[in-house]
Amino acid sequence: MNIDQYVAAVDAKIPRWNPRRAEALRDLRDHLNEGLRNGETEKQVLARMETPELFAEALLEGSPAVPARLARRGAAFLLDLTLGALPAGLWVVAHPTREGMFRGPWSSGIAADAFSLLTILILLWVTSAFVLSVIYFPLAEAVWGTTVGKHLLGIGVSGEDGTRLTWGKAVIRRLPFVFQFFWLDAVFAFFSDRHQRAFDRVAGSLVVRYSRATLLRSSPR
Amino acid sequence: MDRELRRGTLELVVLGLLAEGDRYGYELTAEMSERSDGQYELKEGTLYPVLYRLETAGLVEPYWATQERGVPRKYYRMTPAGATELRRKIVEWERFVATMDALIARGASR
Repeated sequence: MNIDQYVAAVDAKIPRWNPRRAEALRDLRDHLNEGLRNGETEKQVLARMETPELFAEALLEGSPAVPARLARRGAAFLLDLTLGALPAGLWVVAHPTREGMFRGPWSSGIAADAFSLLTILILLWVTSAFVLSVIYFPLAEAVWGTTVGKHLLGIGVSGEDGTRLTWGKAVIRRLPFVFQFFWLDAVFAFFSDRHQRAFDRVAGSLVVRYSRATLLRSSPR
Repeated sequence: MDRELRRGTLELVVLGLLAEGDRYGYELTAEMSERSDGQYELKEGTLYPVLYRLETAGLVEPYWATQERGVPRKYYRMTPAGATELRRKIVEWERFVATMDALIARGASR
């Protein structure tokens, strides 16, 4: 393993949303390069380091994660669903072919129009929930550790040890959404100290609040 | 030296070294090893979390400077709050050493 590989291995364990990630990796690389400047070989420099996994865990251990409150998580979820349904929603509002669909008890007029629009938007929102749960949520959480809605509200997902969420964990924690027992799964969060749903516990994942106040932070002057 | 003992005293050691002057990370680990004759060797992953923790607590602050060989380095300097904390930790350490000496004296003499 060389220095680049060591740094990459450490990077792979740190959630992408960690505000200190870039700085910690830069400090690590500078530290290793300092050894080279002092005449050491790459092998000697890396021999003094623990494994990349232990190094990343030590970095994260110093910044205990603050579990995100349920209200914030709920708001982020609704925000994601709304953003997910927005493109189709805008199309529906603008497109004339929706006229005549889902008019309810009215045959024409404003009430029929409004009922039609509302029904279609709700159906889109529900469809969006399923599609996002199966594709977008696991993908975004595995790759970036967060979703658009979560990021806008300053929350992200990690392993229970603070390390980056793996693909396996990202998929497992979403299974209740796919198999339609989300509401049962979510009830567990109300009785958990760390606001974990049942499948958060199964997957070993944690939804945390990230901010420069709660995580490692620095702005070198 | 026992790993847990090193971990438990690292904040005190770092503050103590920074009280003498500003240092960068590599310099701190080299100084620790040299002064302790190799007894206080630590895996360098342990140092940076401590530095970040001290910084978050307002006990040290980092800054960038370009000195020898024109290489920019991230230095750490102790803050006034850090100096106060160092004094407290030294008192605590001396009390701890005295207590441990008293506790193990009989066993050590056997």
